[in-house]
Amino acid sequence: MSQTLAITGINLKSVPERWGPSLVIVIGLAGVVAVFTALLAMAEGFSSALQASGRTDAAIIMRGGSSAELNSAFDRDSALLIKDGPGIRRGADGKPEAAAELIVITELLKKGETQTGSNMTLRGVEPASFTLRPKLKIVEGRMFQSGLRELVVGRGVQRQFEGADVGKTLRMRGSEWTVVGVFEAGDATDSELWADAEVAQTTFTRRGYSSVLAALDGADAIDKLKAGLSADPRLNVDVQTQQAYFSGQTKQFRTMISILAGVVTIIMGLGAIFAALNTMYAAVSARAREIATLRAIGFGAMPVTVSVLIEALVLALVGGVIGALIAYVLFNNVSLSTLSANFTQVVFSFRITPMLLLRGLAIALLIGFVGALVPAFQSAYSYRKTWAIVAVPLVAALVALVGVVTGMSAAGLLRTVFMVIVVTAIHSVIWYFAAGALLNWAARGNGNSTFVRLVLSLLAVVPGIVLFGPLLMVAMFRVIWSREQRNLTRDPLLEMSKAL
Amino acid sequence: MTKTGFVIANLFRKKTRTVLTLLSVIMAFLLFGLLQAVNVMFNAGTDFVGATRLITQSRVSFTQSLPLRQLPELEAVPGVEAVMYEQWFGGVWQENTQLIAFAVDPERLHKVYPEWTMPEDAWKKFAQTRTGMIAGRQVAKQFGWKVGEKLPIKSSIFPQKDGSKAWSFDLVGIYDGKDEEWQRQTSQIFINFAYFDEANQFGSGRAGIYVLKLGDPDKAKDVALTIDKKYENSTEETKTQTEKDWNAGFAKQMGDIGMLVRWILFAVFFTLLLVVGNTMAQSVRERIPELAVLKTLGFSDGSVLGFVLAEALLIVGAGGLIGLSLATGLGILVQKNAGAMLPISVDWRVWSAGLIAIAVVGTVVGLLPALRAQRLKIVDALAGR
Repeated sequence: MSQTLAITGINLKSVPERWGPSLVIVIGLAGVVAVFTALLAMAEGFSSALQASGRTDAAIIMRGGSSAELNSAFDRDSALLIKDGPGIRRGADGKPEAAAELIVITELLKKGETQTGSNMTLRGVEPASFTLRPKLKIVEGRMFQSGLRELVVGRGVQRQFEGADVGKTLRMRGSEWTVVGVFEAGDATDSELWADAEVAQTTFTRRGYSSVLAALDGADAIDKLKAGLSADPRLNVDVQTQQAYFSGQTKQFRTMISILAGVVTIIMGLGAIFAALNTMYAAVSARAREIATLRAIGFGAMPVTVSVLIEALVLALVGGVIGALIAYVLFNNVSLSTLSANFTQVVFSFRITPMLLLRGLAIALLIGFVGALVPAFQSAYSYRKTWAIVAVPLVAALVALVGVVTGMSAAGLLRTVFMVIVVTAIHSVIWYFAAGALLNWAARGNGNSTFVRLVLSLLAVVPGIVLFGPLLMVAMFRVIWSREQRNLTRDPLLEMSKAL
Repeated sequence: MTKTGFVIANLFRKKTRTVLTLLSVIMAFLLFGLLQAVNVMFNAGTDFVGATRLITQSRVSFTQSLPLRQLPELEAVPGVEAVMYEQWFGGVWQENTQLIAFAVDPERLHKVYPEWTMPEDAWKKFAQTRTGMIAGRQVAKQFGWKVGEKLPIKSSIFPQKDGSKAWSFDLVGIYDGKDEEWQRQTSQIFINFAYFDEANQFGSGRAGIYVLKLGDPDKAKDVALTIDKKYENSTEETKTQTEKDWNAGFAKQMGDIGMLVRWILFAVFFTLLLVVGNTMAQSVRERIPELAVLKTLGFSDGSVLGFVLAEALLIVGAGGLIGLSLATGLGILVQKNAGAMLPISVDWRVWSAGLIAIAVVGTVVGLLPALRAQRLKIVDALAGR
């Protein structure tokens, strides 16, 4: 132990002497971690913007088969029927706490943009819409007056889009609307413009509504409401809690980003592993004489090995921290917008959570570990002994790396590993026999020269490798994909980060 | 030994190092190829459509339908050759697969989009079959549709008169694009507007958006202005822009993915530069006495610089070409699996960007060590100073 400490100390102190090669590990890993953290922070921010809007004690009712509010529509009578449905909480005045709302898409120009408009949600609301969203507060100006062409706009809209400040007017369908206030709710409604529902109906010649938002009366109220509304032959509606609706909306974007992040990180990570290997091999071979001297004066093989490993891990950690810092400084809370399932803009910001930072650092350490393991052991052990020792930890670290990058659960990871092993085994067997058959076929005559054998075995093996690699990737991709598809509502990462 | 042979032999003096460096270069260019393909995909659909077509949408937004009564008025605008309209159908295949489906007038579609090619009698059949539908080659291939099949397609927006959202259409034709770029866009489905408008619950003679074909693309601005002026201050205000701008606007709304991709590329390349640069520097440092011997033997400063530079270019070039080839293969695989939803392809545009990157990276990483080798003084180098 004291030996290890002593050598590690010497190693670390000599890092500044060889800063060039060491820098490769640091910067390489900083790049990987920065890209990984930034990409996932985007997915995280998008999810949290939408998830924050979702209450479990409120239900959203849309026409049957509409996946988003935009596609849904029903008339005034249906809206009244829905509001009277069972399970909806009643307010102090005895009226149901429910609001029928109308969604219209309108275009605004992003700040700095002169030509291309962005789609924005204009929501026609009723007074109950405000009581149903208790977090929503007017932070500037005042509420719109009912019956007038007045708007209140979300904070995100006001920040990112042109002409959405208090006092400005917006033109829609030949009429002028005045922005009278700005509201803030800390969720997806911050990307919307709100107006009086009836005024919106007349302006956009709509006779009905898009959806009804209703407060639920107790835990089993959602089932009561579902049963009650579906029993009514005059209605054809889908009922879901507001939270279920919103997490359904984030699914596609989250899947896309996690796949992008996974692919990019794995390829970049492989590059970084090769770079780290290179650096550590160089570091070890430059110190071959030093290491031999240490061994000669009585230091054990293990302390030497461990000290090389620790050096790599320290460098990796430094790289990881730098990468995380870069991502944090450049991206945290930077706001951006994208299209939601409603075809409208959702404004959200990068959110770098402690969990993400931890994952980034874990990736850096694992890459450092994988990169340094073999060179470290080879510095003090024979070739054969090295592989006997490192094979298991090496594979374990690689599997763990895939796990951290994709965010798979341990069970899912084991399943994948199992599948990969099975696929590999099957393919090896098939190609082994195929190659054997080819060789036998070649050997049937008398012209079985070594050259012919060589060419034929190459012919048999190469297609195997070429086919096998992509198949493996597709298999892994499928697993990750199906896992993402299944996890509509429960994101293990999100839950873990909440628990932290 | 030739000079080329010398450079190659130098690469093999430390096999591990060369292989590892090569592998990290391959990874970097694999990523480069894929990301660049994504980048091209997001900019696609804008480069080749040209400005011969205008799109007129409601000024409020394209989801607000324009009324059909504007059709003759738009046809009468000077400079407009043909007009078609299309309504977004919100098509859904099987459980949850979104389709890009529009309700159109078949003859008008044929006139405005000559780029979609299909046998004439298929066009005729599409016009005559009320429940007819045509699909692009790509989407038909993806779902294995055959001409003559009756396909159940749901709409997430339009219920039929009886309130059911399950529609069914007869596939009367599969269209192709006139060239490779158009072929890649054949992921749309068109259904017969007349039937759609009659059978759907809100059928009200609303057209969706209009697509106008112009005789002279140079007049695009004037025509657009004339149309928008005409409907200004009416309840059906319009916004007219070229098809190119319209597509670009759509891509822009997806968020600045292009910027994101460029950031990642930047990070990847910076890392790569450092890795390969460092390796080159190290290999030159190790060989200082050798280089001095070369110079003593009479090789000029210039040819020593050439050796080192050629080594860097060779390793980056080999790695880059392998990486780009891998990306091409992977791109084909992705396209086979994800089909119309992610039409990435590592084509000549990606390759030409990749070749430029190879040249730049190779030169940058090779130059510093090469200059060092060039400036080497024989006496100092041999003395180990």
